Amino acid sequence: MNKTGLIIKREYLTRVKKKSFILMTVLGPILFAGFFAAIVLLAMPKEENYNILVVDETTIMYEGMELILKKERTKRIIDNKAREANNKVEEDSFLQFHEAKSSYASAIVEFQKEDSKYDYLVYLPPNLIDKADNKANLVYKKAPNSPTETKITSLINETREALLMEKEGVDKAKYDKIKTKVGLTPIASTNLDESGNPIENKAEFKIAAFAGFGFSIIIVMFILTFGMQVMRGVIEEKTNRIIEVIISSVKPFQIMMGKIVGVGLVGLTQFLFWIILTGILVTVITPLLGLDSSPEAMSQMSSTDMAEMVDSGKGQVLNTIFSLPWLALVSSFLVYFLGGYLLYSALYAAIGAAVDSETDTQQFLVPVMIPLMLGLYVAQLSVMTNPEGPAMFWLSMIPLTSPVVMLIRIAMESVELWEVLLSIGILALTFVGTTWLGGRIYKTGILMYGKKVTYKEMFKWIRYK
Amino acid sequence: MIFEAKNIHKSYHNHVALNDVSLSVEKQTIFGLLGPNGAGKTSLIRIVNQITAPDSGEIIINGERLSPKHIEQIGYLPEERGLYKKMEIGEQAMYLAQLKGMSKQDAKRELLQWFEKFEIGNWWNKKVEELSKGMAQKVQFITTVLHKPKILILDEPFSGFDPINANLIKSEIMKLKEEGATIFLSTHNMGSVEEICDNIALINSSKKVLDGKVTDIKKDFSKNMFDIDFKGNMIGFANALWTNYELVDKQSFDNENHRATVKILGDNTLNNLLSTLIEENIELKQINEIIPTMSEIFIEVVNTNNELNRKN
Repeated sequence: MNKTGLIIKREYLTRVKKKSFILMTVLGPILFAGFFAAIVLLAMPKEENYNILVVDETTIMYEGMELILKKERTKRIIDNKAREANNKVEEDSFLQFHEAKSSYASAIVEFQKEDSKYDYLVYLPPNLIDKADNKANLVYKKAPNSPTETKITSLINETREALLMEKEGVDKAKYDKIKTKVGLTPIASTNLDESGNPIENKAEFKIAAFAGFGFSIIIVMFILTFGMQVMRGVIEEKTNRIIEVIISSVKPFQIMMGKIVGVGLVGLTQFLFWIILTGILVTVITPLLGLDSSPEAMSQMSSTDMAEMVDSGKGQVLNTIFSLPWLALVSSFLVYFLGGYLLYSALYAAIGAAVDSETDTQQFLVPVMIPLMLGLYVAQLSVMTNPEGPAMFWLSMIPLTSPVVMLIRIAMESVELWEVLLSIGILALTFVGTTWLGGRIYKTGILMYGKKVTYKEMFKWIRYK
Repeated sequence: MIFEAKNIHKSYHNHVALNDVSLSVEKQTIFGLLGPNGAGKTSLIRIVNQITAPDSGEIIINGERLSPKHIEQIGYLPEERGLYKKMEIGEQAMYLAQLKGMSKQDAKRELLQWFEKFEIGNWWNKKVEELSKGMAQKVQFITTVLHKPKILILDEPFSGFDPINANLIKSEIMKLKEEGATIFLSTHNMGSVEEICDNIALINSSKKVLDGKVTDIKKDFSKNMFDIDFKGNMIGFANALWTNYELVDKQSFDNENHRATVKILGDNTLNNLLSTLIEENIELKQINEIIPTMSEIFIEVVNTNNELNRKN
């Protein structure tokens, strides 16, 4: 085995055998899944039953509200019958309304009693129906979650509308027609079939962009994690002084490249395991959760019901995720990860060689991190405001940011092949450049002790023989 | 000559590390590379190890210009040395041996022998962080000599060892010399230079200021001074000395027994001095020539040289 090979082997094996690596590799996907699940769970409203005391000084609102609630319940029962086969029965409303038979003041006393069963008190002032600027109040003990608040608000408004329509003699069907809002759906011209209809099951670009953004975050994370590992490895060898022994057997450039390649392989190994483990997790857990990710199941989810609309949004996300250009994404992830890693790790190696201890690295690390962070930040902004604008184009060409940004464009499928090839070409040229540069600094720095290194100093090293 | 350095010149940014340094070293000798801190020894050692290249001049090994293939013929124990703390000793030694071009099987076989010899056979699976400094240095020494290098460069090999282990290393160095190795010994420990070096070169302020056989150098630097122990009285002794001799120092052990340090001036010999003393009926007990230690020579040469440099 040649010497670079030996170094790669050592760098790889010592890291892969570490407990922390094994732990992170196994736990990574589980942690991610857990993290994700935790967010979803925390954001989900608790399906508790809330008791709401309504003080109705309009005298007619409460009755109207009950009527509407009753209609909703009947409709849900019918809908549920239809859906029973699908095992998607809608739960009964979690809000229970009770009318206060007394004045506002005594209702408040009742509400504030320690053994009171009421969670909220809704106060409807007498002129609520006629004067639109009058506000109803929601008195709470614990701040309501947003579905509760939304539900109560819409119930009050719906009731008021119905009462007003009756009073003013407006036909409800006509009113509903007028009230309907037009939605605007952005569709890429490439996403239309010959007759001009949108192609089903094609990625919706904003969701796709966010999926791509997820990849960007992973790339940045990998570059930072494994770049730092390269740097720490270099510092370890330098402070250990074992470098003095190794450097008498192997050329500095070989040592540096051996380390970079070895650590890079560790990163790829981890990524590979994560993909496999995530695959296993998904196939094992999806049926457990009762989620059906097949398109037929998803198409059945569309309905006009409010709650159902949330569902269909989820469906669209899943739909988009399944229709992402996965092959292109994963392969370009590998290319950009490698390119970005090689580019940055050479810089990290140079920093490690230049300093005496990790505490001295800060001033050099910041400039290396700025392009990555800037790439992420600008990409995130552009995705929301101008996903195909010039910022995205240039950031996907500049080699310091292209590994971060290009994957978003690939996920959105808004990129030409030549752009990808050009960007990869620039990236490749640049990493050859940074590796050369890093090698020069590494070579001199690795044997330099006790000197406070400055940028000026480093620049001199580049020109040393 | 197994090793020759010819007119080596090396400078770093506004600092000259080696200025026209030439050396030649015979096969199977121990060559002491001496000099104060910062004189340029490490620069020279790094050039021999091909860690850096000289600006001009060349290194010849066995008649060939220094090239990458010589890496495997050189063993280097740096002054500042370390090992990977988290790696097992055996694995680490195997790694370093393979980097020097040994095959896995050879490395394993030789290592087991050395571990046996140094009585550290049961350390193979230990991590470096579990070892004491001295223990780690044994391992470092082994990895330096394992591949049977023709040229060994040892920078302060005894530092950090207790006297017993220092002796063990010393005898191993001598054994390696007998087996045909040529050894460069860079050290500030002048005692060990006198003990084991055949030749030395002294480098000061990037220039070689002295070189040659240790015995020759010591003869050159001897001042023609003698310690004379005698019985009698000191005044009588002092009166017996003519202007040809200088009483440099005197010391009385008791009323009768004294020691005088005498420098012989001009062309006079020890015989002249003795006959002078005997004529005066001084009862001589013992006469020893004062031979300067390497340490004294080192200090003298470096100081004189520094003074010269200052004047220029």
